[in-house]
Amino acid sequence: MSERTTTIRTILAKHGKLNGSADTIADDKSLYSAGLTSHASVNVMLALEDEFDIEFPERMLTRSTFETVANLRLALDSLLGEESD
Amino acid sequence: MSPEELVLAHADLRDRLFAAKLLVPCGVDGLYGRSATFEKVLNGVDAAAYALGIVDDPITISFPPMIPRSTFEAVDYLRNFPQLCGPVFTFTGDNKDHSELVHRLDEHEDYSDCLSLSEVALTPACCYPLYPSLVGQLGDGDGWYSTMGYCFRHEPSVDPMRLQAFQQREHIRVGTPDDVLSWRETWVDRIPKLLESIGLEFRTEFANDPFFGRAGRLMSRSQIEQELKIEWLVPVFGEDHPTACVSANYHQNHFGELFGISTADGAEAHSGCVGFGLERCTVALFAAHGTDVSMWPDSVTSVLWP
Repeated sequence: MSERTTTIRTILAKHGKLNGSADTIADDKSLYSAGLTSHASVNVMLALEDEFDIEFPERMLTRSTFETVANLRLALDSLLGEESD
Repeated sequence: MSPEELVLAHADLRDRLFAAKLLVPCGVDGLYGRSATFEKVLNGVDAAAYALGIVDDPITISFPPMIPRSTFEAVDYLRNFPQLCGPVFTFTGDNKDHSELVHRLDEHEDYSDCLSLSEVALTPACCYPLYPSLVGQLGDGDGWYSTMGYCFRHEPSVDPMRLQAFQQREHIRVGTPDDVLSWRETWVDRIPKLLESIGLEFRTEFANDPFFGRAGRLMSRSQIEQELKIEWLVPVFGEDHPTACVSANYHQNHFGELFGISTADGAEAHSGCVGFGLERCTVALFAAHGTDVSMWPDSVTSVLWP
């Protein structure tokens, strides 16, 4: 798993209030169906911004950005550039 | 209508309400005295809005226009709507502190740091005090409530549809998600009939609350995408600038989780509320039918004063 995805899962574990484990949820599984609330998604957003020193632009402040681990990864990649191995 | 023209339209309607002595200026935008006639119309709207919910046989409860600060903080008001909030501050100092306070007052200096937070806050929505009172498991057949009271939101404006101190009638349903959503659907049927019966034009939209800041953008969009809030908007200042007069809201498990409310079956409770902005409906009626109530159509007055 990439470092970025690991960080996303760590932040989801801390702020997402998911029903199951944030470490094992599939990349494309809906976080909302796993219990992510709107309030929790805001906390995830703020924690990711802090961690990566970024600001999600207006166009990314939608429900779909926070819907899955994969979508969050795509959003971070587009803001930070592709992760180097 | 340009923004400048809209402000003029706001001021024009407010001036007409002042001239007719329906509203009385208090020196602050959004804070007005009300004439007996204004209150009579408002009470008529409230009675009609209350009567619409009688079929559900709600438990009717009144609360003061303040809530415990613990509730105010628990419902995340400062996180979501800090720009509107009204925590109550008071003085708890000694003689020396009081001298400083009076000195600042005499010198017209800011004295906010001489005061401290009290244990209460002005109520931002009149259903808020209900939820903590429901802690625990609902009894069989419980879950319908109605309340009415004063609210405060700090949004000074010349628009007489936007007050800082205003009253709401709220109907509340607490139960399973299906209970709440099917109940909300009954209001989606009832509300247009009431607005039509009192001669108000309206349109319906999925809407969002005025969440603050960038985090608020995500909350707002999420609220609209999930169709959690439906508003009935009345175009008092034209079709491009309608004002929400009634809303029907689904809170999901927000309050059930916060305050530990469960259904009679033991599941975490969901909730929803229908809120009537009573001053907004009242001002909209004066805008639609004129400031002389004696000239209003019988069809309207017979609904307000049956």
